[in-house]
Amino acid sequence: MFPLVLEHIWLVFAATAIASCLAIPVGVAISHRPSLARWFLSGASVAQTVPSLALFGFLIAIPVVGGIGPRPALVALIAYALLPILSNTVTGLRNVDPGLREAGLAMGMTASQFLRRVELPLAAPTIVAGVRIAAVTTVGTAAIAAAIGGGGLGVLIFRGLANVDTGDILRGALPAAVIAMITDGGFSWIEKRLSHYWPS
Amino acid sequence: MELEFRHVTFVRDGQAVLRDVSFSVAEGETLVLLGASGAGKTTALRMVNALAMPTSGEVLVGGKPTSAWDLITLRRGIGYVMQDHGLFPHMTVDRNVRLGLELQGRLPAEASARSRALLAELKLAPEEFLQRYPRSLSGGQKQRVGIARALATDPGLLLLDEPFGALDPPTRLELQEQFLELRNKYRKASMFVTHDVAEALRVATRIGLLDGGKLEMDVSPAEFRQSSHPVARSFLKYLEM
Repeated sequence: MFPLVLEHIWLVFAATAIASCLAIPVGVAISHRPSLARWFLSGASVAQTVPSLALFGFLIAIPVVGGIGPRPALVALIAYALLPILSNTVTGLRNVDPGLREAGLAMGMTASQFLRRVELPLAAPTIVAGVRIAAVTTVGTAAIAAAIGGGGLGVLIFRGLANVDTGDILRGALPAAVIAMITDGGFSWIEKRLSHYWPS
Repeated sequence: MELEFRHVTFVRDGQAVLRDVSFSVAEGETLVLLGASGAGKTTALRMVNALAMPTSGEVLVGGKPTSAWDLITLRRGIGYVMQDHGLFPHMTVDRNVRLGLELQGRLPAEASARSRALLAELKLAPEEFLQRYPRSLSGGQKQRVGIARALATDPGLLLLDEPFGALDPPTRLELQEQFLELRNKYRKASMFVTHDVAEALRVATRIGLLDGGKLEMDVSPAEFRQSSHPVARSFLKYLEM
């Protein structure tokens, strides 16, 4: 069972990390361009609305990124993780107090200095909340990845369902729930640490 | 650094916010722009550091029109104190004060020494306040830090936008006193916006009365007290109450 747990954690980690690397820079780039933001957020929303099992099945037929195995599973998980990270990055940056923007401008900060020194640190708790939502959701969605040979704890769950074996189902579902809780707790702790300067 | 407005008009959404405004502020002077809400005071202030640009006319800082300045250089040479202090909540008091110096690429040791000296000057014990976050400060303490931040880079010009407007009367009085001490010490040209006539009479070397975007008068506090201008009288009536 242990290799399956590791495989599951790897899938979640890789999907969340790659989605963060894609969504955060895009979020920064589009946050102050409302029409562009609408397009990107709509695109990410569409990916989110496709049922996960259907998306995994759809990917089987797609060349290069699709097929069977961990690679298409990862592609689907990344697509699912994009929206919460992207939308929270945009929201976090847009919610920076306009008064602080004025203060930064009046001090002679350049746009990139303001982004690095003020906007990103202030938006960080919201961005991390997006990553937390994406990671916790991915823990659940990754279990379905076993349907296309993605591995992970879904292997046990699908086998249990096929054999009507509650033991197998629980051996897959319980560690997945624990991983989800630890992931949620860890990111919540980071969120709190990042927002310690806000009035309570 | 001296400041001059030459026939400045500013139109926003088809409406004139400032109309043919001209005045100048020399080193050591404090011009207080007094007027009701919507009179154009803050807009005039924002034109000095080019947060707004005139529709016609010119604003000259150090003899050069703001349009000819590199914006970053211009703004780094002007101290700005906002009504709601504008302190960055994720930075300690020390980092807030030294930020302007860091942006100028000054050495950390120099920035640190300046931050400590200014806080002490503004009656905030450095060892107690340097590492605190703005959320843990009172309104008056926040505004003191805001003033320290504005003075940190030793700017040639100081802009104050209703800096004490949100404070209780005793703190307000105390900070006005401190402002006068600092002005007498540093002799900077400053432009101070308020709608409080008592404050204007206390801190101004000259009072500019704005009404509906027009500069109705630019006089000394003593002359303002004697003025028969109806808008000036309506402000002065408040003192008699």
